[in-house]
Amino acid sequence: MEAEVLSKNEELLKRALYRERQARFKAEDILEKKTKELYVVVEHLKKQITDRIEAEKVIKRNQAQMIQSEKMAGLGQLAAGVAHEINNPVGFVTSNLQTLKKYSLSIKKMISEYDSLVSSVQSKDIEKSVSFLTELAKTKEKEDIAYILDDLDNLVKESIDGTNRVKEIVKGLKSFARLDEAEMKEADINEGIESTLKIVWNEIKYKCEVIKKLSPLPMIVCFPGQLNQVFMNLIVNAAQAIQEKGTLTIESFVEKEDIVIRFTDTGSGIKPENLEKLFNPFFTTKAVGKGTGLGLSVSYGIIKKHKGDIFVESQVGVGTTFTIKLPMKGAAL
Amino acid sequence: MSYKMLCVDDEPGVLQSLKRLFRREGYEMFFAGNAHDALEILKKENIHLIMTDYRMPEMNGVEFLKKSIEIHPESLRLILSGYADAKVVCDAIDQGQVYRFLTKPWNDEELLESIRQCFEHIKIETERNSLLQQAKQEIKA
Repeated sequence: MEAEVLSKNEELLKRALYRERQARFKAEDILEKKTKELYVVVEHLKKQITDRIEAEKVIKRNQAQMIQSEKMAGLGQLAAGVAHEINNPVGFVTSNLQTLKKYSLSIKKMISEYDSLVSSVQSKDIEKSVSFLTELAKTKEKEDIAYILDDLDNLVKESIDGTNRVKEIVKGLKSFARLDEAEMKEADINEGIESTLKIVWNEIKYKCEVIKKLSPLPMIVCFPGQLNQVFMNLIVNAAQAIQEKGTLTIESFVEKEDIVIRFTDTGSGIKPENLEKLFNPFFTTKAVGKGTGLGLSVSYGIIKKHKGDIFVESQVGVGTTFTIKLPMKGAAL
Repeated sequence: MSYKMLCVDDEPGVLQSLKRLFRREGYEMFFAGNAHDALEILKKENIHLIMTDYRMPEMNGVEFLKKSIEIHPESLRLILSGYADAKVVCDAIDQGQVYRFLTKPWNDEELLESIRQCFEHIKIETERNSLLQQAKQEIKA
């Protein structure tokens, strides 16, 4: 009887054990499956993250390229103008120097005859002296010394003016481009406006009178070359908006925590329906080949990068005002 | 008879240097700082040769030459410019009917030689015309 009970118990125990083992196997199975699933998910996430990092890198690179290519397109349009601006003074200065060479030959001839006259006077040879004197008078007439003497100062003055102009243009170009500056640095915004004006002067001088109201500004930490690119866009746009003749007023001042730069033109104005699209990439109302449609969108990007703001007010037939606000604290990136 | 040449450029420095360059060439020289003044001169003087800049305020060189053709169609026209993209050159040829397109900065000797050749061309043209005239009259007689 006792043995019977025992074996029954054993039987029960065995069964219970079996059930438990079955359950454990099942649980382990599920766990393994879940672990596998989790592993796949983690791998997927990892890939997503690396893809994303890669994509961000590409976007950053593309943005940098876009800024650069927009700058180059803008510069390309200006290059012809700058070339003209340089070729004029180089042309007349070169020609003046050639003329000066001829003048110097004439003057040297006079001096050498004068020397002969002096030595004949010193040796008291009256006959020779008289003959040299007449010769000298003849040469003076023939070489048109009076004209040369009259013209000489002007020639030199005009040539110095010419070379100074070339110097200014090149200086402007250099400070405009600031190609070597990939990092932020302290700069004077007014200086940037002035050097940009020098570069675009040839584009705008026949169309607009530029009124500058630049108040002294504190130096701010920025990408000076990129800000100049923004100024160039706004100035050239303003000039292009002016049909015949108009004015462009450039103001700069400090307001609370910001430096404010304002470009106001008396051009044709922007239609209300175009105002909101103005900063979109590739939006342009200019003729094919006249604009990339990137100028303002790149400008917008540059100002945002400086933690600043850019906005526009415009009235058709009256003109347009672009206002830029840059935080004086600079754009700590 | 001395030949008359008109130089048009909005850049005083350029006009001054051209004045110096052509001073002893024996041409009768006229200078204008803009297209408007140049047209006034053209109305008064029988100019043989016009040399103009392209980029000028109000009226560019090609527009000016177009107007000059109405006054003096027989003049020879040149452009002397530092701004020479293909479109400008084409316009100069098509609309301005230019004889030569010269570029800035120029070389003095080459410029002088070009101008001498221009006047040579004008001289031959005038001779040819007068000979033709003569021949016509002889045929009539």
